[in-house]
Amino acid sequence: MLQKELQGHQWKAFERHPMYGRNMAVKIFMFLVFGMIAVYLLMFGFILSDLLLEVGAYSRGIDSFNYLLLYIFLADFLLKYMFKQSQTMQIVPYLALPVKRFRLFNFLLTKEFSNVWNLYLLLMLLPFVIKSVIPYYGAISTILYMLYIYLSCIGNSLLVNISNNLFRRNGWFLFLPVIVVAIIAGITFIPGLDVCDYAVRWGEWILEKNLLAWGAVLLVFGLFWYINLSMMREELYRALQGKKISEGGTFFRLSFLERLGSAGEFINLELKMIARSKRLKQQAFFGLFFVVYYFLMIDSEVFKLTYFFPLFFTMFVVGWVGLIMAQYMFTAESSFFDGLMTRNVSLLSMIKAKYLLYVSCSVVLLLLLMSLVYLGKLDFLFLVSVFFYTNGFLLFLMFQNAVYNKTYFSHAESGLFNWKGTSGNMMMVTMIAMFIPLGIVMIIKGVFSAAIAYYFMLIVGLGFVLTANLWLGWTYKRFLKRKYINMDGFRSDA
Amino acid sequence: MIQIKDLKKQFGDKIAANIPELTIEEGSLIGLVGNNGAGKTTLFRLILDLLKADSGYVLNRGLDVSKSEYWKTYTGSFLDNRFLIDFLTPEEYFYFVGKTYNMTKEMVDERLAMFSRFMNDEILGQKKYIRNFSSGNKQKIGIMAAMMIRPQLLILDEPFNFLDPSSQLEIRDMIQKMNKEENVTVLISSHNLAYTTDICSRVILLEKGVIINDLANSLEAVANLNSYFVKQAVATD
Repeated sequence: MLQKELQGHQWKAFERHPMYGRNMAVKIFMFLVFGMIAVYLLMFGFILSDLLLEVGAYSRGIDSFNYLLLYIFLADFLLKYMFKQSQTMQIVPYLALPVKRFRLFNFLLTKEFSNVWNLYLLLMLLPFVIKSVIPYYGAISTILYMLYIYLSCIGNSLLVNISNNLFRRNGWFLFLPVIVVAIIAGITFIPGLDVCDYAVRWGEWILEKNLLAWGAVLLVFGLFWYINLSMMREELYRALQGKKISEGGTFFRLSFLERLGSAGEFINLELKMIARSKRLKQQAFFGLFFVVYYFLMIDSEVFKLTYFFPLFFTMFVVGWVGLIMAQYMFTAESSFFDGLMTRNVSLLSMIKAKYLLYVSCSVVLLLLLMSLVYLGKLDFLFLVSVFFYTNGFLLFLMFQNAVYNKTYFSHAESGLFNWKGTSGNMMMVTMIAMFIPLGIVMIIKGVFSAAIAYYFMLIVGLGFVLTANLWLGWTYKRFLKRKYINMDGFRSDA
Repeated sequence: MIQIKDLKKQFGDKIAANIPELTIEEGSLIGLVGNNGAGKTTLFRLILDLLKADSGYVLNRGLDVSKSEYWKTYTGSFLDNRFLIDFLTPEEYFYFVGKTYNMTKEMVDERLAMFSRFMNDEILGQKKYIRNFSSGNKQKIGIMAAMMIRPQLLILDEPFNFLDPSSQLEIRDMIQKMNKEENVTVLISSHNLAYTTDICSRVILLEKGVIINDLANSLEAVANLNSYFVKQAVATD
């Protein structure tokens, strides 16, 4: 009865989430994104067996998959560790009611069964098992194998909860997952110890319905469940108290920026905002992930297959700070915008400070990427032209679009799949800002040559960088014309 | 100090402000009272140019607040938590605000020392972000930031809200002191009739965005206000 009631509340919370009250463009965009991810996972699952047969070390796709499973779960763990939110606070409204806490904790844990974080792998696995497992082991073993993956995903989530809980108790526990990851990665290099071979055998046991293997899976799962339950009470007190996480850490202050006057003040403020906002921090991490990915992918043949990927990724890597953060201009300040507008500060200084910060970060990334030019992996002209095109033309488009930002932005919320504070217009124009310039360059390259496309980017980009003062002022004037509408939006969406 | 002429603001069908004329003299201490939804905060937002008036204007020392921003250099205000930068610590926030008014850290520290009793050792040195303070302490931070800059016009919306009785007395005295000793023009809104009538030289009663009474503070005025709110309560019953 209670369980049903609580589930009903969860559904209402989902259905009535402010995100769904947004305009049609956002809804369409959201469904497109989710749809694309789902289709992508299904398609990937479909080609996975062929891919594993081609590149895998085993004659059967399922063996190669089992071989990789350890690393897949490792990646899954890291992803959840960084993005999964604590759900303990969801039960706060029920605490004063005559409901046993144990039942509430159990309810929270059972939610893991329907959590999208634990289902996404199954989507990929479905076409794969139909092609690669059924022919060898039959339907029942295949269903059991899916169940094993499902339980492992949930087990991974429970493990993440435990790690997070320990970390909140003591900061040193942050190193625990790092050590675990290092050990798993390190094991691979121990001579004579083929961990992956064990993983293949383990997978076979699961598929062959080995009782010991299944018993071990259920035992570990039960253990994680029990530890979670026993930790939840303390976790709840900690979340209610909200003190430990709230302690203001010390943050460096870039004193040399003080020489820049109010622009320097705003840069310091922006840096603090990124460092202390859960959402912006996650977005920044996402950008950094791309930088690392870029360095790993630069030699890959897939990367060079089309002209689009190098251009798109280089643009993103060079300008990720600006391209990500400019989307949230004004709206990131929405929670204190009234204060800002009544102080003796100029918004123009803030806009200029943001641009200065984004370009400075881009310069650092440019210098980093120069190492690839030195190694002969990137073309110098290409890199420089992308740098100017991104910091000139792309940021110009982003800044102009930002004046339409009029939604409340919560710094405390998670950033992943969170469109609150992101207007439909902003999304559309961000896409346009990213892809139209790319399209133009690709057309020029197709009609003329790569060099002409690079020079086009360089000249256009340079033009916008040199006239930045002018169009930043224009952004400011355009924002002032809309300020009442925008400020009203910042207030009403809270 | 402030002149309002034909000021109108409507949200849909609801009139939030409709003030044909209002003048607030330099150095006065004005209290705005009225029930919820009377339009007190809307009026403050219009004075601070946080809302666009449908018609009319607000002049702050002769400057139209929607056209010039110079008034910000001498106006301190705190309406709600939206004035606070909640990912900063109180110290960082005070220094940031101080800097925008060309105050050095030393000047900010010196000024904050005046509020030490009001802070009650609960604000500075806590190593906490503003977002993690209690509502009362957030209120204190906002009020202090507004007062710290040595404003010539001070606008506070419900300054006694969320505060403990000692802090309410403290803030009441500080407002009065700033008004008397520094000749600061003060505009406050409050549901606390006792404090408002205690310190304000003039009390403006708002109802549905309209000024229905503008009283110089006197025993008679206090009686008038009391009878108004009693009537309102009876009417609601």
